[in-house]
Amino acid sequence: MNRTTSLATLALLLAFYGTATAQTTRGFVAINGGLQSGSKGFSQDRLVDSPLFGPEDGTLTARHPGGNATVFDASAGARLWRQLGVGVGVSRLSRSETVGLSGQLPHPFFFDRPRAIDGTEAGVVREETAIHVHARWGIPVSQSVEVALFGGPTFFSVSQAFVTGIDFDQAYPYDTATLTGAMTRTEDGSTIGFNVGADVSVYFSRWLGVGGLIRFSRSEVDLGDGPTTIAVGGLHTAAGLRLRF
Amino acid sequence: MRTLTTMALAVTLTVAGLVTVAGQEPASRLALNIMALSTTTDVSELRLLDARVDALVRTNALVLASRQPDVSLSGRVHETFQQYHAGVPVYGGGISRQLANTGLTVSIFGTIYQEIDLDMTPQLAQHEALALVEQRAGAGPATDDPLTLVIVPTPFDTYVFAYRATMRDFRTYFLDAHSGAIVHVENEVDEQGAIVGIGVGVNNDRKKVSASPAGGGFQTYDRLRPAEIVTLDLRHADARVDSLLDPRGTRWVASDVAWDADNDWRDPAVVGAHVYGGFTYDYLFAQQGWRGMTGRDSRILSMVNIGREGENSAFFYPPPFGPEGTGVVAFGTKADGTPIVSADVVAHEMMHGVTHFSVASRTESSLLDTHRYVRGPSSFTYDGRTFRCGSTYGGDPILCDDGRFLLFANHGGAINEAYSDIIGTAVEFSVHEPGVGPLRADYVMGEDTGQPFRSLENPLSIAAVGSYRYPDAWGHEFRFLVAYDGELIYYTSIGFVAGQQFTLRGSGYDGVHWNSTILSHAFYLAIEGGQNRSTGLTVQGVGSANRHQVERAFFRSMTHLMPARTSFRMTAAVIRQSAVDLFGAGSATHRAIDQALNAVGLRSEVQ
Repeated sequence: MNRTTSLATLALLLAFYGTATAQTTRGFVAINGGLQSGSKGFSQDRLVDSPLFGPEDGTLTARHPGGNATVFDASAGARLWRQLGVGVGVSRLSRSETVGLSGQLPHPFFFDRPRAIDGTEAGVVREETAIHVHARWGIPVSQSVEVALFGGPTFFSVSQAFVTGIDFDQAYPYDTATLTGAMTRTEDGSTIGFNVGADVSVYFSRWLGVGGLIRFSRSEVDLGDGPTTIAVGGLHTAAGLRLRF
Repeated sequence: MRTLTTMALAVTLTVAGLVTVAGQEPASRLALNIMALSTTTDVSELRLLDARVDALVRTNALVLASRQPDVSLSGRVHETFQQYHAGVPVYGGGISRQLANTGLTVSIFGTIYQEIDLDMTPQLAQHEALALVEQRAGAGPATDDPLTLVIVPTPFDTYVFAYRATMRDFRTYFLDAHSGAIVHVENEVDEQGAIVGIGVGVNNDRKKVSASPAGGGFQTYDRLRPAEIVTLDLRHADARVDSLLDPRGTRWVASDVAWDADNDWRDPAVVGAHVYGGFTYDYLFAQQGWRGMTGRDSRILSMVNIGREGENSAFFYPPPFGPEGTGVVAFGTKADGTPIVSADVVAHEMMHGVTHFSVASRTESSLLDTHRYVRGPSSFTYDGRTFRCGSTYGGDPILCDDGRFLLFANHGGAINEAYSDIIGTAVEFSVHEPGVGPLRADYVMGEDTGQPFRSLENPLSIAAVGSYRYPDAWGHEFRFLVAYDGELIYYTSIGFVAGQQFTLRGSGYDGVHWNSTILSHAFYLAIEGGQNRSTGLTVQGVGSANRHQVERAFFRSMTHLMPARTSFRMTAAVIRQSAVDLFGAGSATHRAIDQALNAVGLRSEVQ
């Protein structure tokens, strides 16, 4: 069986089940909690200025590691025609990162004699709110089990803290410098991306059930000075309550 | 450099027997130079000499003046004793004793003056003495401090009970407390000699300037180093320069400090003096463990654009002179306007400060001019006339002994200059990459100001007087006839080098710059090795990678061991001892330094 044949067979099966079992569900509400994985890290390079450097600038690279984050999601939707419906979901995550810092600081007395610094800055916060608008195709597998496939645009609102400066210690003869802290500033931005995913619901009464959600959303947004392009979204793996009516 | 030195004419000579102890050098018939090294002195003799020192301490003939730990050699302690006679200090008399952490003596250097027999009741009151000195100096006293009484040894084995007065003409006068005669004068200015030539200033190189915000702009006020470094821009205002140098003049104020609106400094005099002053501090701190000029991180003041005071010169003035009475380094300009502020020159002047303060902190006097003579020709020809003993110079008798003219050399001044060139060169190597040309480290002094004026590598490559070259070995030093004006002796313009007569048209500064290359060439040989062109002796140097070892041995010899009154021979012994202390007898560094000193004719006591 080739790939085209397989997809066609899956579509026929979904259409059959949808026609057979889900005529009575008009809408739903889902509340989920889970993880967002696949968040991309990013690096930010910037120049560091100080009255002690003279005409030279220092350099600093901040490495935001990315990774998993707890995500909360609420979705609602309605069936419009046959198994086709629309929905909207809101997800929100907040992640506190430990950012790796490295750079070179000019010597106060000499040109071209940089001093290496490195360290970390903890508690650098990334917040991401996404509104996922989607069309969905419901697939009632049985009276108590429903599967839905969905996809559509996502409107991302991002709040990201960036390292904007550093504190350092140096003492005569200034051959070394030690990073002692970092200053951060939060930048906000928004962008539009996409989302695709699937939801499986199992109802143990007429109205109430539980379910699982897999959703992948992605976009990029430019934030801050520079600017710095960061990827938003990721793979949501969540589970929660389901209401249907 | 010392520009004027005068001494009392001997009136009587008293002969004293010398105790024969290894390492003693007769400086005169009454002065006993003591050079007891741990390597060349028999231990029993060192202990005997040590016991004699203790005996002198018990009778208050030697009084402990300072006791300082060795900053470059843990566990070592240096005691300096000032010689006293009847409660009055003997100028230049005293010893420095180095103790190991066991308390045992490692070395002793110094000069003990013997058979002092003076009437110790001054016939002149202080105010009478001061009036006489003021009359002679044409200037008032530098400070309100009372005059001090000292016993001044003369080069002719006599002693004078004298008042000591530092005056505002930058000289210290020694006035016979009985007769009122001026018997000795020390010029307090350590000055770079004239530099004639063309140059491109500071080579248009960019440097970072450690400044401070002030008055809506920036000032050359370095607060990043443990010692504040302040560079004053006097804008060639002669009256202001004179006032700031004068210990009774005005103190410096903020408006004297070089200022720039945007911290982008365009005056190479300011940039060179300030930046290289900082680099010199850095070198002393990092390589020598020495903090600033005083060793105590005292504020360092420098002056640039100093008008007529700075015509073809740079200099160091010790306390009580300078903009706050604590000494100052100052940098002038060449005839073409090029500021004399290369790395080696700035470090040279600051090393004069180190020499002054380090010796003064131990011995209560700076490194003194030390005049030694040899018997020269019985006759010479000058201006078509033949001179013999009994002849006069400008109407003044020329000093002779036993039918032969006496030829003098100022050892202390030349040694002072040599150390400044040595550390000037060391700083240049710490700042620039080795090489040839502008902003490259080499063993030539002043090349970045347009024309080299001394070479440590090959002193003979540069003419000092006419066609006479800087000497590279003892025995080739410049010496001068001295004359007596009825009160003081002074260096004439007639000199001899290697048996050849020459005549100066201006000041020769006692030849201290010229003779300095004998010792500074030894420094070069100890590092780089090679053959001395005059003696033919070969040295196996430590190599440039180990240059700091040689630098440390030389530097420590001055800051920790050198007595105030020294000679080339004693200085060589002190340097050898320093190398032994730091690196061990027979070490590569000790061997190289010993060979180098031998190669320049300063042979060790025990071969």
